[in-house]
Amino acid sequence: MSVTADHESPRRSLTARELEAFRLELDALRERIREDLGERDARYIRRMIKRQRQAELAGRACLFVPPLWAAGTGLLTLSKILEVMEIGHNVMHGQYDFMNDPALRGRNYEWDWACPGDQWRHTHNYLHHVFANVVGEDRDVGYGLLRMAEEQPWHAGYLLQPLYAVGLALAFELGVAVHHLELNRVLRQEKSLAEFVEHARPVVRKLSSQLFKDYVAFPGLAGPAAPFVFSGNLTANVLRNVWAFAVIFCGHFPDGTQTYGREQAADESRGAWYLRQIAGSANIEGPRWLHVLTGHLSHQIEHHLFPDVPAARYPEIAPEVRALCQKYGVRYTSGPFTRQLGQTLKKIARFALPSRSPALVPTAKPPVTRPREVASAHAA
Amino acid sequence: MLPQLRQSLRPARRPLNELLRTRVVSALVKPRRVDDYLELIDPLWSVQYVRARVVRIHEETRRAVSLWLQPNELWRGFRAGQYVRLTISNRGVQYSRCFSLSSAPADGLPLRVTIQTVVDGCVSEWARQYVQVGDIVEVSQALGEFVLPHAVPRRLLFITGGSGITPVMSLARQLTHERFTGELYWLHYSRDEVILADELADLERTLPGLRLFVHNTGRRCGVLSRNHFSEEQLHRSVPEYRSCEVYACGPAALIEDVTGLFRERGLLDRLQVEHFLPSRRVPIAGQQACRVEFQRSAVVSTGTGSLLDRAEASGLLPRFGCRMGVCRSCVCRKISGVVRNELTGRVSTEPDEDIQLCISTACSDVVLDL
Repeated sequence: MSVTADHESPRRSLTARELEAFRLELDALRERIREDLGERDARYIRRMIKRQRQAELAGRACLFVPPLWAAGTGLLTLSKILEVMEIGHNVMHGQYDFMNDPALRGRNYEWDWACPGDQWRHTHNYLHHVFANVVGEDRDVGYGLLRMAEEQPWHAGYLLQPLYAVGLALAFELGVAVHHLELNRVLRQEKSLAEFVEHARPVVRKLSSQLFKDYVAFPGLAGPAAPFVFSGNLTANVLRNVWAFAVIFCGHFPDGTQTYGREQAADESRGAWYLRQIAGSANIEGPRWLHVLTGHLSHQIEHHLFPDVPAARYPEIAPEVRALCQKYGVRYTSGPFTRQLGQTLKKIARFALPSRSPALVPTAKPPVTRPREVASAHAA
Repeated sequence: MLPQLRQSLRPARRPLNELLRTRVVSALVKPRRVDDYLELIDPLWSVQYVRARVVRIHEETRRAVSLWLQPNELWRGFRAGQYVRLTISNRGVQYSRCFSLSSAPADGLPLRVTIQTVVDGCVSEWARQYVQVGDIVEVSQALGEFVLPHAVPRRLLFITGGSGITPVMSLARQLTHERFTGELYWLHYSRDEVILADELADLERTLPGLRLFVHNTGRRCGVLSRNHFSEEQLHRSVPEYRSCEVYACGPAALIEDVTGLFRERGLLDRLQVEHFLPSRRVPIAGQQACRVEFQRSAVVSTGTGSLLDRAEASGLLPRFGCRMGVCRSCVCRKISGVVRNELTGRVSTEPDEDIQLCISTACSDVVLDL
């Protein structure tokens, strides 16, 4: 298996002093951008929101007219993708909190997507971002369904994981919605049923209102055009699912990205944290429209370094991050979409089979000391 | 096409709003709000908030700007002397500030606010440089108790300083419209140019009972204190001030002097004051360190300062506006503990009370629902 990185970087670890210098340079970059936030960023997100809503209104209207089915479905897909990728995900990171606009406040924003905002803020903003690619902590490593790392012990169930992956891609919205419920831990009786029910309630509520809207209310309003509206909504949701799945999996699993054991991430310095974020992420190269449709997750590395910096800023800071990585000899993984996707899919297939060397099978896992304990998933 | 649609929908907006507020419609747009889509058609259109279009801008003095605001149909009207909370966006950041309306209800729409611009003020900067005719702002419904009683007293005394003239101008304009025939004394203090000076001059013609005294308190006028408010000066201008209903609005020092005098004379029940700046600078320092727990966020602060500062220092982002205890944007439920309102000195000891974060400090360990 050949490892593809865009530039050959010496694979050696940084000294503590180098790591600290690296951290200071990244911190300075972040501060510089945060100082500069203002009108431009506000205008960008407002314009994006306006476009998204226009596309949604136009899409839903077109679906009421059967000959316009394809156009309606396309517009609705576009609006659904923008809402989750470029607006919801980024706003919920608090990227636009500086605007002091109650409608765009990260801790209150509720996106048009089945996963309840509060649960997302916990599993994504906290677990995934703080513990990126730490097997056993970051549940985005395989979503409790797929084996994506050596550190995950193999069992025969994983043989079918290419099929699971297809299922997860098609129903990604549902997969993310039940992510927080940790069904696998409930089945293993590691999570109490009471806790499960408590977590499930908001999911059921949100999911039913999402399903009602797309599959009952709008088709119902359309009268004789109901089947067209229904199928258009279904298609748009499935297309969004596949797209989101592809983008998100491309962000952390192409060749060159690393996963970590709990002990490796325990007690790491801020510099080492930065390093892990970079090593665990991969960028996608492409035209501007692609970046927008990925919600700028095409700059996964920059996003993981600075999750609360407005995403539209990532393209402008990426060259600097890349230069810093080169300077310090840190691998910066980046490639075109098709290549990253191909590598990710290959990885799904490869890890369906047991690893050739059973080297890294973890035994007893020590718990990671968390930087800041969050009491409940509903913490704002 | 859009302007025509906007135009033709305008008369229908009121009945449409009723429909748009129903649960059926909100289920269709959930988790967004109806407003989020209405603003695509017309940025003024909302079923929830009063939004207003800036229709005219006039520089009153070098340091004061009047804006005329045409609100949408959700505006419920106001009484002379009331204020609104204005929410604007400057350089991408939203700010809310309270401003008195300087027009009178009888003037009709658009409303007028007169904004005194201060150095370094974000809203001031906006009002001086960035606002343009056609901009959309958000306004609250009218707030405040600085109003005339329904039976207007026959003898009135207004004491105003600087931009404190604005709500009182509203009162005076309303009196003019109502053809007030009683006595009206008005003492105005100004450091430099008088805001709304032309209108003040007009009032002398249209309000027959008005006796106006304008005092310049600027440094150029020799002895600093000579023109400032004092009992002697009040007595000289308005010998019968004890029998007047008094409305005072102005800078903290003026309001303190006026309140002090009327308290001494036992006339406080005749005095109505409005202050838009805290009557004293909130002294938030040197508090002993009390533990503040932000319960919902599961964060504990052990620092000092206002609860808002402490929440922010702990990485939280509570809603806030004026940061001086006026706009109540930052009101938060206190679950337990003792906090002092540094503006009023009032101490809140009861559990489950709403407090203003920006002007409250902890006097004991406190738990907040934040």
